[in-house]
Amino acid sequence: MKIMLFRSVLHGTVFGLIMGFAVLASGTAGAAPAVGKPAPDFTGTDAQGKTHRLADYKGSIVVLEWTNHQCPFVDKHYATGNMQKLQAAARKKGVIWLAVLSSAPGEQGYLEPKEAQALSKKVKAAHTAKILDPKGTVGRLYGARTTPHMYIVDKTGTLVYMGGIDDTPSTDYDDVKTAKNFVTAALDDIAGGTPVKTPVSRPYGCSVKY
Amino acid sequence: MIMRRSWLLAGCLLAWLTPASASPPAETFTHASLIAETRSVQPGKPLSVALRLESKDGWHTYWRYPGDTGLATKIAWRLPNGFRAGDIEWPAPERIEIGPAANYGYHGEVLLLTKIDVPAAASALKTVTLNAQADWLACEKICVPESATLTLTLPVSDAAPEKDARWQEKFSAARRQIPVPAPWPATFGVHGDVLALSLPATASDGAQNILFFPHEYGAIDNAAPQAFGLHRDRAVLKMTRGEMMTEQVKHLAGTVVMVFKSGGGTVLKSFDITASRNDRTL
Repeated sequence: MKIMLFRSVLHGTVFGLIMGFAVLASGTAGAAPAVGKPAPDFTGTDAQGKTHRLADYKGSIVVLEWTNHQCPFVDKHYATGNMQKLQAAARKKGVIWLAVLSSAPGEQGYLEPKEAQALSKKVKAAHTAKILDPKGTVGRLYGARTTPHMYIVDKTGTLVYMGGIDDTPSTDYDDVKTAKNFVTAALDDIAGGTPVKTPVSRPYGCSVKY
Repeated sequence: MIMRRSWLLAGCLLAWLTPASASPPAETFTHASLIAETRSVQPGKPLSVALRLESKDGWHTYWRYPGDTGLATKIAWRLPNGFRAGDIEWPAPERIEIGPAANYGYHGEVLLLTKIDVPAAASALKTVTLNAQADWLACEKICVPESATLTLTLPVSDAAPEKDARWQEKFSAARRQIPVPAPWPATFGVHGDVLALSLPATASDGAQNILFFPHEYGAIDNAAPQAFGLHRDRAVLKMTRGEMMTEQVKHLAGTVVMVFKSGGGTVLKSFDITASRNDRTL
């Protein structure tokens, strides 16, 4: 880990540098997906070796869940059964739920396909598939920063939610009971034909181990 | 004995790292203690105490707003009747980058100061015991939730309390890092993805650089670079707009840290600001 100290800027040259910075910054921000815009398309391979392309799910609602089973924030939602419950309830309504694992080989949470299958079985995960993204391609495309970090794509392929799983940043199991779950709320809004009331929220958790 | 304990610790850690297990090991990567600035408590006079967190090399804990990941340290106080604890007086944090994320926290040692109001009725007591339940997230690249139940007992005396020589310097150093309310007005403006914070140039007072730490999620893109420059009579810090920075947002709250050159090193001064919006700032 490194602490970045900001580059100090000489006063005389600052405006040229600021102009350069503006281009750089829009490059950074432009890469991130935005609510109300088409969700960036991707193709990923799941733990079983099956390919999933987001565009192929047009007509269905798709939930993306960034995960890392060794992260204490993810653990809170799996050890309490909260995540599995959400997955099962969503899939019952026809939602496609893709868990995405962007840990790089050697980093926390990285799993070989067989291990990923075994883990899903062990924790009784109810997702549609677990996308293995060891190069972090899908993660970076979505600007995924935390585990969990949640995204919802509607039937037209538009990104309608991005952010936290709920409103209580903590690793405390008890908080699951009292937290307001943003994914459930967004899926309910979509089902009711109303715009998602909280389309963006603070994602909380561990850093994605790219 | 030592051997057995470290095995136990390793066992706990391994057990915890598997998803199904329950309680994490306490204080493996960060050591916590409760210290007081003075050696006694004077009835009717506030007392300054600190949660002292000492993280192992490479490990850190978090600021009030932890940034993209992480969790702010929490203290729950259990105090005698009539005593009241204030909020944590957070020292200005470091910026800590992890991959595409930026966090705000403290490497190594940090003192989280808290003011305790002491009632006049405390004169009836010989000693007072303060109890604190501290919860924090210790992170290196990986993160481990840790906690400690801490107590501190001090004698009660009507005499003006003596500073505790063991901690005097640490308390003074910690106070210098705590932001003060800015005595000057600040504005900010948004144009496209660029968010510019503007202060009177006189406020920056020869600072070599300025850093901004938002108090809340979504105001700025934490991981994007910040560029400081002087523009006529304004000191301007250009950043990237955050996800929650819509047109409706009229205020930007955060901590401004100014970096000054001093001798061979640097001196930091921190200010808490609430900037008002004026998109013509840009």
